[in-house]
Amino acid sequence: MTQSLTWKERLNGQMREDWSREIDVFETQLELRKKGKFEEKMFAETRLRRGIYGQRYDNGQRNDGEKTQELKFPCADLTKGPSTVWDAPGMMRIKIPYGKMSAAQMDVLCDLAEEYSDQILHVTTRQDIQLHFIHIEDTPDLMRRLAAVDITTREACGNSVRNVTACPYAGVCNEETFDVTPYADAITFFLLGHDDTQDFGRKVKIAFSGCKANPCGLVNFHDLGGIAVVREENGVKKRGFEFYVGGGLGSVPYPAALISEFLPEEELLPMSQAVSRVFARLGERDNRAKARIKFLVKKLGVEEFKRLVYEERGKLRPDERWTAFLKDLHSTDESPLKPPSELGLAARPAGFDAWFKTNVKPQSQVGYSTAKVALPLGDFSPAQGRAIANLMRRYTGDTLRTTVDQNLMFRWVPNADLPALYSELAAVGLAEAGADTITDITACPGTDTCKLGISSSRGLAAELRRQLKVMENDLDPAASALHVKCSGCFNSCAQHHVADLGFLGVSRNVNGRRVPHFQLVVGGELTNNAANYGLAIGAIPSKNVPQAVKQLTDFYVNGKQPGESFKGFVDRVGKKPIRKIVDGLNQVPPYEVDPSFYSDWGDPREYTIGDMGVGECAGEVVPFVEMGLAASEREVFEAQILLDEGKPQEAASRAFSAMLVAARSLTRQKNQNLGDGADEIVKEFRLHFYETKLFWDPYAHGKFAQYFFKAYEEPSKSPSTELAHQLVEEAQLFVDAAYQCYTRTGNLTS
Amino acid sequence: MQSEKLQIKVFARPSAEFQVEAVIPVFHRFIREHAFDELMIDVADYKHVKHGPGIVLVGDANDYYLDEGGGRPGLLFSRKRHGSGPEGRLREGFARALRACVLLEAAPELGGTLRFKTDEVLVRLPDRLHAPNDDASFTELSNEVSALAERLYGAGAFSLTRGPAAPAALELVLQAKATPDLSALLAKV
Repeated sequence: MTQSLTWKERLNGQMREDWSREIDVFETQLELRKKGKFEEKMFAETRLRRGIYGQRYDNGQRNDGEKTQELKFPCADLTKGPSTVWDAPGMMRIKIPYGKMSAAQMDVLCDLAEEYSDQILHVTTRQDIQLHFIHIEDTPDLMRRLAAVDITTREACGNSVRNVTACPYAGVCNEETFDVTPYADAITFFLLGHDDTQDFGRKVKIAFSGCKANPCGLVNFHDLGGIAVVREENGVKKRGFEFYVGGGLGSVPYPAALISEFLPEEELLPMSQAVSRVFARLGERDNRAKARIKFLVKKLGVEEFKRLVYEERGKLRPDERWTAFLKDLHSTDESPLKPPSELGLAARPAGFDAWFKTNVKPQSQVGYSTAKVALPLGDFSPAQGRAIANLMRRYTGDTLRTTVDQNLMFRWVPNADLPALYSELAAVGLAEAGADTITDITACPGTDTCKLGISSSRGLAAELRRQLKVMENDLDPAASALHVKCSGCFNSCAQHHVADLGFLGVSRNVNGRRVPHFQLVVGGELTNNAANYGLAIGAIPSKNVPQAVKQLTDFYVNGKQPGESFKGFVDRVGKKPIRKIVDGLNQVPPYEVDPSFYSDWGDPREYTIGDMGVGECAGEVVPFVEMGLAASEREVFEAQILLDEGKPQEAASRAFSAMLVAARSLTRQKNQNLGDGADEIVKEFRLHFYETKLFWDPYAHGKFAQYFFKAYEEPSKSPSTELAHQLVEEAQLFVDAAYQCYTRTGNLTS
Repeated sequence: MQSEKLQIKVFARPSAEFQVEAVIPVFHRFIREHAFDELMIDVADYKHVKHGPGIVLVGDANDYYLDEGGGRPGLLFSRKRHGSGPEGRLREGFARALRACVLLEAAPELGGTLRFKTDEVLVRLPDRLHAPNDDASFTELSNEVSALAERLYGAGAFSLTRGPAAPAALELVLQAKATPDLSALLAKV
């Protein structure tokens, strides 16, 4: 227990080198920020792109139900972003690409939740895992421990390509065209940190589905999406995708536009790259509410957007990664631990049949099933997570997927093992039936932790779930099949637009006081990749929502035609009778009669919207060049540290690297295809900035650029401390000159 | 021992009347009234997770849980940062945990339904870097806990039992022969 190792030392050599370096860099940035040497807005976007998000009350204020109190954090004025106090706890979003997770990864996630968070792991609607109440200074170690099990948090937030999602049944589904897993995997790592995805005005969400009909991939509301299709060409079956762009929910939902009915598999990555470039170049940057791809597609029109994308595709510098992954599409295949088997007729544990009916599905591989773990509000504890990891190892061969409905899903369970798996899940409280039913409610964090939350979506979901669970066995099958989704505000993180019964938090003034309400949204469709979006019908006081759900389900069950979906029912009967139900429930009693209406579910404080803050979903718009220049400045600082540590060779190398980063950042504005190699960067920098005199200082002329050329042309293999010192100074001057050049010339994108 | 992290759980006496969610308004009041001499931030509700963290009073340096881990409710004190050095860590943790228990027992909202046992305390170090769950760490932690337990309960009046093996965090359970009053125990810390 007296060991003094750090996680950096302990995990040395166990992380991918580039990821390890990135985390070191972030740790340096964190120290620079603490010393006031890293600009606040830049730091905010930097941490967001590493998955570190703000949380409610991080502006240092909280309403306690009677008045707003200042939260006096020890860090005083130090911030980690605009109006974001350094010491205030935040959220860590951890990308789980297409939801696939190993037992070892689950173990580490549980360790992290236990050591740095509030003992809870939360599954999001985009297959991420989130940990809340994290201190920013714990994040580098947290990232290292994740990196050691091949998880990165890079670009989990901010204006970047977020977690790539995919159908959790991919590869084991009876109805899929083909397994989309290797494609989701390839695009994840191709676009991660790619130059062409660093200059967005907003985030980009990507999804894949193996089929058109089922509600698993939900491609229709993603910025970029692919649905698997196979086309026969000259007697040969060829894989490709229906390729969509510009979908999105949020306050203004847009269906995605089809820009290719058949995008050949080898074109998936380059076309995604081309879309990224067009979005980065033409997407809105000033008005954050209009900055997603959907608005650009609308503004330009689908045909023009498509034309620009294909034009851009033609300009791309060829990249072997576009097709390298196609050589082994089985690299992401999973192997079962045990041979297939049948369920058999042996006695089954109590509760098994109900669980089997709702949570278990046969796989396309005979003798195996998938089994969903229905998580209440998407939450589970570290103890439960470790139990799941053990079950993964013992039953399935180490695989699990998170799902967009905030659940976990085992795959490759031999059918004969289902009763035993059920019993072991039940022992840790994870064998509740009702997956994909009305009790399996999706909820975003809402006012619990989100700065944008208006009403308590989790509180409402918990209450609805509690009430519905009581009557679960008595529900009509049609009512049981409904989907309920609760968002804390209009941003639709819980995807309320595609629920049968969607709710979004709003507030209303009643009798001079604020009262939490939810707008009811009906008419959405989850099937067919979320084909239709519902519309808000009217606002209901939060405390009346459970009653509204009961009346609406009764109305549907009593009035539906055989086989009629809820959407079909709503379309047929119209919204007036539904509005009538809402109207019957929208009365709020005076505070003196029933004060409970004036506080939210699960929160006894008198309701207020005063705790709302500025969301960080939109990140901060920091151009690629500015991020690069900041990185070069940080590298100069690191070179100084190396010099102080008596490492002149490393210091000299880092100083040159700083110049290279600065030069590349500027030059890429002129040449988007610019590579990473020093030869190319120097050549292109000379062409575009030195020979044109763009880089020339008004007084020193080309002197600072010559420092760079000299460092490139005359590298010293074993520089003296003196020489290294000089190089560090020259690097600092070059980086300063690069900043000056950028300031003088502005955006040089041609 | 380098670890800043420390958890101490004081188990609740079994009660059919006590519902864990009843502490939600109490924790909110603790924040409003500054009941602790430290910064408390918010309340998190995880009662829907079976045998989970229950209800959490989140603070800057320390969290306080009405924890349901292991199916046994109790007050779990969790130190995250800014604690005193290794020498005073355990004493400070016990003092803060016991003070929170005293406040909860006295909370009028609970109507006396929540009472704590003083003869059983769990000590956990959720820090796999500085306190790996191995024999050496257990011995070191045992010595540290024994020194304090002698002061609280008297020499030979308690036993220590090691908790579950890794990957669980290092933990032990202190069981005393006596069941002193909470306030009396706190006074000895």
